Amino acid sequence: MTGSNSSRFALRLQGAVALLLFLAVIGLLGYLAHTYDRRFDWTATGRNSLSDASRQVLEKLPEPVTATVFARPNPELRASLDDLLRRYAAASPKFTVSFVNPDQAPARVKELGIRADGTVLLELAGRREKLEQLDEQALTSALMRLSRSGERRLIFLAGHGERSPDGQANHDLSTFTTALREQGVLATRPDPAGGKDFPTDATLVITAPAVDLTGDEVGAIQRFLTAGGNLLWLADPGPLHGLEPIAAELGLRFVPGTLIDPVGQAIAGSAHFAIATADNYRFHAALAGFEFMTLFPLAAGLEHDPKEPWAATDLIELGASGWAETGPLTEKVSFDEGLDRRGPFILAAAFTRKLGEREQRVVVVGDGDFLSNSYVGNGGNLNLGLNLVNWLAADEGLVSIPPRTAPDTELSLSRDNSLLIGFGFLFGLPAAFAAAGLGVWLRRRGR
Amino acid sequence: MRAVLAIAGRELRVLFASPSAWAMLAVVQAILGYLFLTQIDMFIQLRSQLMAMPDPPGLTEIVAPSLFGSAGIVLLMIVPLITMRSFAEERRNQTLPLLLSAPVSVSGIVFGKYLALMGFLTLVTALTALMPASLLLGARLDLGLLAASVLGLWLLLGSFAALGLFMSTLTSHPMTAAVSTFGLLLLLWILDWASGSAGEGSGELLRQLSMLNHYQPLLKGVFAIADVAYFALFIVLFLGLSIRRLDAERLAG
Repeated sequence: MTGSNSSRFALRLQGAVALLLFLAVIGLLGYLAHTYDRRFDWTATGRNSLSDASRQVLEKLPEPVTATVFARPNPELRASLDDLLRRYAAASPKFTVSFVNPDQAPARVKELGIRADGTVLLELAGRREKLEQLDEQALTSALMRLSRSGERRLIFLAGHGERSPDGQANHDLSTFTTALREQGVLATRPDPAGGKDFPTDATLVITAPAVDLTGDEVGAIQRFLTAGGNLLWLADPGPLHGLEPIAAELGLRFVPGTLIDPVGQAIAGSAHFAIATADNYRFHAALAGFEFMTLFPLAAGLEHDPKEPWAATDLIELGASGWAETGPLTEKVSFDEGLDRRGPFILAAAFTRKLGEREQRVVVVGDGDFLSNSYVGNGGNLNLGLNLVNWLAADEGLVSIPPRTAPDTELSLSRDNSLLIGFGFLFGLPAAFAAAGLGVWLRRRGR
Repeated sequence: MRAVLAIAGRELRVLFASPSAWAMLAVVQAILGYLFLTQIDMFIQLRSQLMAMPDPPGLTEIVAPSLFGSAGIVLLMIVPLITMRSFAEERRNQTLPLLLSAPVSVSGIVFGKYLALMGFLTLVTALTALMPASLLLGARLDLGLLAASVLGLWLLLGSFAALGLFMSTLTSHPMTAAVSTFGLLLLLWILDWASGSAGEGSGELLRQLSMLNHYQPLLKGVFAIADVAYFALFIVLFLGLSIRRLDAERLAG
């Protein structure tokens, strides 16, 4: 190649420009592919895609949703969360995901009350929900709840020394109702005029009264139940103060005394602390996927034999090795034959009744302390309360994602076939290749 | 085109006339065969536990992703040894100027050599795919998932070969080409380990450049345009660079 320096320089320059152009085109195409990415799930069960139920919820989102993941930069944890959230983000432009390292935003973590690494905060139009266990079921159900524009209301019975929904005292429920408000559930008190009917589109909450209710008030609750209203009853050990007719209506009885749970004694250091773990929760929609430990400081056991058309399901059963103490709760409590009853006890139960198209729902828990300001932060207490309210206040608040069963869970090879596969791939083929290589080598040497 | 095929044919004959290609096939097959059998064994051991899971993974899901993932790593070490000779050997034997002055375009030469490499690597991919496919004798497989894994491995090996080919155009020492190819591939493979995780701009870019990050979705059965485009562009980029490099040599020669 001959030529003057200038033409050689020109060639060089031309080559450099061409190279830059080539690299730019490759980069641009890569960027375009990344921007206009489309994903196709080739698996037989579609296990990498969202189920139809989730897709429908996403399509009906009224407002944009932001999912904020509070996770430390731990690749495994983030990757698994990212994998699921990305499917949602891909399915709907209204769903955006961001990651926050909790160590770098301590103020925000504290303000939001984020406890576990990997908590996801969902926000829609000012309503919030925190998810500590993330799977498609939990996420879609939460999106559905947040999407509901209609305010869901809880009415707290008041005026007889019950736990106050907005009181700050230890036995009050303000922490719980604040968490409810974030999810778009409003806690209110009934109109002061006693005996007035409660609106049946709200869920009534009864906590243990300290003084007797009047006949009118009990009548109003009975009418509310008859009319098909949903009820959450947080009872406590002790007298019912006039609520007996309500219990009778449901076929519900309370075991006299306070539950003594040796498990609670061992873990929480007090004999009348009852502890429920994943083994104690019974299968029910309200507790779907719920696995946290919960703590019930002073609880009463329940018994039920509901009359038609009411049907009852146990939610929590515990205290298999405990008893119901009828004596004073001192440091040393002991089982008194003849006076105290041995466990196990039902601690919470759900009652349902079919009313035409819809289902009337009632939940009774033998303890109100677990949601009180003192104890609501323990274990999964708050989550349990939210789960129960969500089940009560929403007829359709839980989506069921159908299970994905792979088509190939069976493997049945005949003896000959398994020998063929095992031997063939591990010894047969490699030996054949090695022999061919040896043959080639020998022939070469022979030349 | 005929010239391209002639070059490819010649290259393949040379490759299979040397014991080393057969030795590599034997080694790869023995390693992957062993891994394949351990996965099947695991499936049989865990079957009762798997059935108790809410969304039990199937046989294909237990066997294929793990096998193909391992195949990617094993071949990351083997492919550089296959590609190292492509041009470095020619240059060392002083046959490169001859080849470049042949009545074939430089791109024809590069495509011919690449086609030969892909022939060999397609055989390796087929051998890997044959193992899970053999289970059709006693199971219904998730063929979509298997197809995505096979496609993923094939594209991955194609990218390995393109980079190896380019490295071979830069030097006259095959071993230098092999080592630098291996080093670069390993770097591209682990790029997203270094980037932390999701989020930050530079970390995201590194993740997008990482081979592993684009290979994994295919192993899960997800065919994403972005992932397939990554491999295709990777191959085009390094074949283009190889052509350019040899063109410059032809001009200078």
